[in-house]
Amino acid sequence: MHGRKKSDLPQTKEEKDAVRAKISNYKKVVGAIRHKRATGQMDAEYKQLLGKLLRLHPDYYSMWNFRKEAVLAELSRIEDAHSRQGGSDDGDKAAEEISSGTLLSPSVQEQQKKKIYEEELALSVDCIKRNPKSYPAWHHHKWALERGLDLLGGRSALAGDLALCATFLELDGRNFHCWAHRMWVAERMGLSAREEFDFTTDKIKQNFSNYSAFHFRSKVLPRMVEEAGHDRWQLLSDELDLTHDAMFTEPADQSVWWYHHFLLTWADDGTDSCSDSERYENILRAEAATLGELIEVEVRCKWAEVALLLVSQRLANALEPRPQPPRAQDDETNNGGGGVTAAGNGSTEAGEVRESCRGMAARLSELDPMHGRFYEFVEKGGTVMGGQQMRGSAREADR
Amino acid sequence: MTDFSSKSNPPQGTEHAEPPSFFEELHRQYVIRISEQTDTFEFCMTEHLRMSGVYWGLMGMALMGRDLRKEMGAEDLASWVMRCQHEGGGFGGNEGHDPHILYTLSALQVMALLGELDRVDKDKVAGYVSGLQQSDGSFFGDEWGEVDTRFSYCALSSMAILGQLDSGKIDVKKAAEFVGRCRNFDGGFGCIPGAESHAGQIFTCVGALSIARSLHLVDEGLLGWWLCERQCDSGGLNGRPEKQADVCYSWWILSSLKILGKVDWIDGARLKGFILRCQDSEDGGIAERPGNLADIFHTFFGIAGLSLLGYFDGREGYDSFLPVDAVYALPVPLVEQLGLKSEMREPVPLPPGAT
Repeated sequence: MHGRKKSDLPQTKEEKDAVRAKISNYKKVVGAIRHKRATGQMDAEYKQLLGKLLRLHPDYYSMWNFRKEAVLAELSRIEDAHSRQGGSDDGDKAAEEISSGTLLSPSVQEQQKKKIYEEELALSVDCIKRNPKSYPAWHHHKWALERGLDLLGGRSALAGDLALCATFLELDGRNFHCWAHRMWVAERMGLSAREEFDFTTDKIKQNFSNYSAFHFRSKVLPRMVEEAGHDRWQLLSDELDLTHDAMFTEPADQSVWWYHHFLLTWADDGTDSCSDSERYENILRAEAATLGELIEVEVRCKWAEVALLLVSQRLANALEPRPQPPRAQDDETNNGGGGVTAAGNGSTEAGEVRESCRGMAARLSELDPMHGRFYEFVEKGGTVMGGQQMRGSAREADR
Repeated sequence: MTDFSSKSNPPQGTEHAEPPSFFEELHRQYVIRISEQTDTFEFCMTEHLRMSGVYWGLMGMALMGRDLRKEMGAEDLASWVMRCQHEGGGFGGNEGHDPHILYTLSALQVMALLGELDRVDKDKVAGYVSGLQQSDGSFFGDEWGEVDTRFSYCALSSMAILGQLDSGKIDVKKAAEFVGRCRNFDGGFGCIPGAESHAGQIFTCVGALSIARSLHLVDEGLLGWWLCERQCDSGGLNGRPEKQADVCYSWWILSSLKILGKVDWIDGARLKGFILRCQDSEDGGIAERPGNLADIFHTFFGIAGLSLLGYFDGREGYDSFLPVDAVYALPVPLVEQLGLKSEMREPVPLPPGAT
């Protein structure tokens, strides 16, 4: 019971009477359904009562189960009539029974079954409209669509559902039930990576704050390389441009910042040759410069500062891979400069970048003290680089 | 305990005022009162999840150190729970309601809290739970085939409470691997592979991995960062980026952070203030945000959140309060008594000079 105020409770006698009437009506419907089920009367009225109750109360999971039972019973009645016909070797007799209505012709049978599934889809859609977050309503919708898919028209039925999802996501672009269902529909349809990618582009351009769309983009991006054959580095460059648009427009909105962080992890994971490494390092330098510009115009933008810190850490790691978090003896070596010069110019830059990270972490702790412990973790070498880099170093840094 | 509907109301703007104290007596009265008020519309509309409602109420009372057997009619409750069990071993959300893994866990938790677990035929319930596991390690919620990582948690926790986690009846390793496949770019977890991260879902996944002793499947630094960024200016926690704060995430997120040893990655003082401001100062109970209508779900999660934040520790008058276990969502002494095991990271000590 979310989002309600005390003032929403019935106050006057009229309001209280209205609630009492509502409860009594609700209990009557529940009672009638249970009576019919107990006495085996799974007739048209039973289904109608279930429909009425579920439209009132879409979270009543047992009622959805009763509904499924009734649907299955109805389907098997239709199939029984059909199989009796299939088992008959007397064609004339069967034709006679069909015309007299005791047997169903294949096309009539299919039509009847299709109608049953259509009713289930319509019911679940009504209930989802009433409560877009109802788990059992979404599940019933998928159940009916999956079972009845061929009868409902196969791909065209899926396309219809995809359009339905788009409509629901217009109303609430963050409904995770709808996004998850859409993912299933798209998979069943075999939508291309490009089609999926374009859908998230639309959602993001409508609203840079749509974190759900960024999430799904993170799933489809690798497919753009693997399935659609896009050049990984070009794609990355385009994606970074998109994030720049978003972060300069809505710098305080965290959605884009998580995606930006992911992009760089994805770039890092795909870096496996010398020329890749050079590209990756150049991207990091360019990102650091862009973030620096943003920080100049958006003073005290915490997200830009965090991103700069993490980009700098990535750059230092790329220039001088550091397998272990800093320890007392390492610090001594670094102070003397011994460990740095041995690896050449790249390492000198790495040392400078690492030094600047320390200052950034300290500044962030002042700018955003609520997350001081996290910045301390990062400063001590803890990693949040995710992806393939999940190598237990996070725990290492905790010790 | 696992319904993650999200919200849309605007927050209130009183976060900088001194928060009120904890209204212990009002909350006690609230829990008793709502368990007796059976003629309201709210009671009707929550009929299907009564088993979880009872669990939330009992937990609220248990954490406040109350004697459940004396104050909550333990005998009647235990008999009612048994009447909710079906032939196949699963429990429904109420009498005459179908069996489901969500309510099977709630039923076991209720019986454990009442000290009545011996009345439960453990093999029968374990048979129901194990029958729901699929070849990919996931779990159906019931015979109708919905898959969700919430059910993975319910299954693992149920099997642990039944003392049958390592009986071989379920494949614990596969269960953990399925949960691991639900991990996302932000370190969080969704309801199925590919689905968006959500703080409620993250608790069920991190909890499931903790019970399965598979925390190595968690990207601890990244997830810890994402979770601590759920804290809003009001001090409260939201469930996903750019969403409103809500008291229930005090539980989902704090318990996850507790398992990862990172409770101090959020600002505990500000979160305590948020939870305390969500109390109803007249009629008791805790709402999802200040000024809204209290309910039993948020009342439990508010108290559990304060417990994980150490609000009651060493505070005068709260000696009888019990700490909550972040994995099993039961009082710590009960978890110890039942011998329930889990994997949990040690918190990192504060550096010298820090407060």
